Amino acid sequence: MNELQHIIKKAIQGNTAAQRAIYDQYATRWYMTSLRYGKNKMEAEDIFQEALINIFNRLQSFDHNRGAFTTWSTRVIINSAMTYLKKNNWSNSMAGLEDTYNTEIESETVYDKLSAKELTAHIQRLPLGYRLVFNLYAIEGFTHKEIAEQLDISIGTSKSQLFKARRELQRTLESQLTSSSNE
Amino acid sequence: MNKMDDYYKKQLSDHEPAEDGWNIPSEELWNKAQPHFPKPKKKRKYIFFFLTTGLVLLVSTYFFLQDSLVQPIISLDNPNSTAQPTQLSTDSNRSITKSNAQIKTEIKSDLLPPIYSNADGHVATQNNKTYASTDLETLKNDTDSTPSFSGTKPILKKKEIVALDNVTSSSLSKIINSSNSSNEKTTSESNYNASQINSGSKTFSRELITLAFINSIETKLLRNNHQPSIANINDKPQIAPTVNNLPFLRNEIGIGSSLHLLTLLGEVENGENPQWPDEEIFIKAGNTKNLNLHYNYFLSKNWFISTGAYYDHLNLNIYGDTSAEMDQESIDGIVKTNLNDGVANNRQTNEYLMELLPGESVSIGDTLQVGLDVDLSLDVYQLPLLVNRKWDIKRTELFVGLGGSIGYSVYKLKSADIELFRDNQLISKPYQEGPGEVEDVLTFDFIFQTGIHYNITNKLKFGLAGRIFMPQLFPTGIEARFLYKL
Repeated sequence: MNELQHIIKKAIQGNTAAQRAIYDQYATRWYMTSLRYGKNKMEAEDIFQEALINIFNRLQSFDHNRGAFTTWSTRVIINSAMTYLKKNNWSNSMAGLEDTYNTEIESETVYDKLSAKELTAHIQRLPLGYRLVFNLYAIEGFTHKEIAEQLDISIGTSKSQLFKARRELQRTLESQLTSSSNE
Repeated sequence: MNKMDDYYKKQLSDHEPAEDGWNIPSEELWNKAQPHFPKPKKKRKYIFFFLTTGLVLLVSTYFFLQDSLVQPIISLDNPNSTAQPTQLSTDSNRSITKSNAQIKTEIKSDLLPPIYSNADGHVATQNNKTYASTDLETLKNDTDSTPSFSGTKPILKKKEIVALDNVTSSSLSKIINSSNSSNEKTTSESNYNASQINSGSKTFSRELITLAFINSIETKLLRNNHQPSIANINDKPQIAPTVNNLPFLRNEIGIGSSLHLLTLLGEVENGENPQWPDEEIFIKAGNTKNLNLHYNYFLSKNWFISTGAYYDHLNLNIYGDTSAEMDQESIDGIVKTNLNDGVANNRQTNEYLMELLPGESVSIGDTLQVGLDVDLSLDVYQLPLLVNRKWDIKRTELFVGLGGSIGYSVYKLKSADIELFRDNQLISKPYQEGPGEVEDVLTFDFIFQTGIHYNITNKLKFGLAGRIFMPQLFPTGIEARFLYKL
């Protein structure tokens, strides 16, 4: 039993110190994930809070033989985000999505000057459908099939949303780079 | 995945806390969520105890009621107690509702000599039993004879009648009068009876009074010796089975199983420290197995020696957190320091010392939290010897015993995980000990036991016994047992 497993065991038993130790270790990662799924900080914090409760109450279902704790906990955060967003503004945002598919436009722009904070803000500004698909596909590594199942949409819609998300992000990036170069 | 995806993924894969804190969640979020996290489970295994107790009470009540059906208890100590009727049942499911005084009076009437005569020269009692007048004459003339009527059995021996003669007339009259006054069926016949006593032949009156008194005495004897039940005194006499009627058997064997106190408690808290509000040490006893073989030898009716063999197996899981303010002694006892001085090295004889993580140190005055998770098993074999005193209450026996036992205990350390925290941060490498460490010791314990046995049949008993072991407390518990008289 490694150290993490040991602490997880303690946390399951209700040991506050162990729970805090896990939190301190992973809070930043979890919070950053939550920020990407919320449209703003307030929504992200709601997601983060619900995700925390879900993680610690489902710790006993974590099986270290089936994957890393980060993978498992990130998945819990994503599920929490989905639940939260479905509960709040899912129907309006997901309705009327165009089921069209356009070829990807690859960007050769160099974005090295942008920080993670700014990129996260870009993602937050995306419409919900774009944001979810982009997060799930580009950041988490889901396939379109998995995204379609997760969001209860068609694979084509998933691809379409991804294309539009990329295009939107590219516009934002170029606009930001332009404004920063003018300064 | 295109370059933009890669770019975002790469830029967002750094999860280090930012200097401006934009990606660090506020403490408020933790505080809001934490109350919803799992709490230490306080397993209280009282359910088994209550089930056992309930079962015992149920069984005891069943046998108690059975006992009551064949052995009605009638209080004659208070002849005026007529308020509450007593429900009596015979084996033939006959149910009779009578007040105590009513029953008593009927019995007196049954045994009293005739009060008035029929036309054919016979006299009749209230229950229509008839006796020849000559019987009365014989009775009048022979004060030393033992009165005996058809349908009743001889009551007392001659010597006892003589002794009763010494009783004063006034006291006997009181008995008669109290009997009559409590009789709801008091009629002119009883008035006649009273007038006979007051104004008739003194010899005859004395006989009547004597008979009444004898009858009263017999009623008490019926109760004390469990002779024919009053409820069916006119029927075939029934003998109620009682412990007192049984032959005295000296040997008793038995088998039982204990519920350990540790299992009942489920946890032992180690007090609270304001700095560590969740500070608790839990001791969980699981997979307990126990078998007790008993042999009792009765020195007398009330004293017996008990011996036998007890076997206990317990799995103990000791876990939780406690905190300690470090002084030099505790540092030496807990922490494997990196000091190179000879004193420190000499102190490091404890193989359980904790090794601190790189960069961590412990100073005197630091408050550290110690996390424990230790699994061990115990096997204990004991040979007890106790002297007991018992008291019989109908079918039930209460007993108290004192003695000791010689024991052989085997402790097996299955696993031990220990770590040190400071301000919720782990500062030591988790100490982990695998299975295999065994320690065996010979023990001597004082035992105090008390309990209750119930005679299910003439030879079979069921009982509960509470036993306290000292100084080795863990076998302390409550035992359910069956005993068989040989």
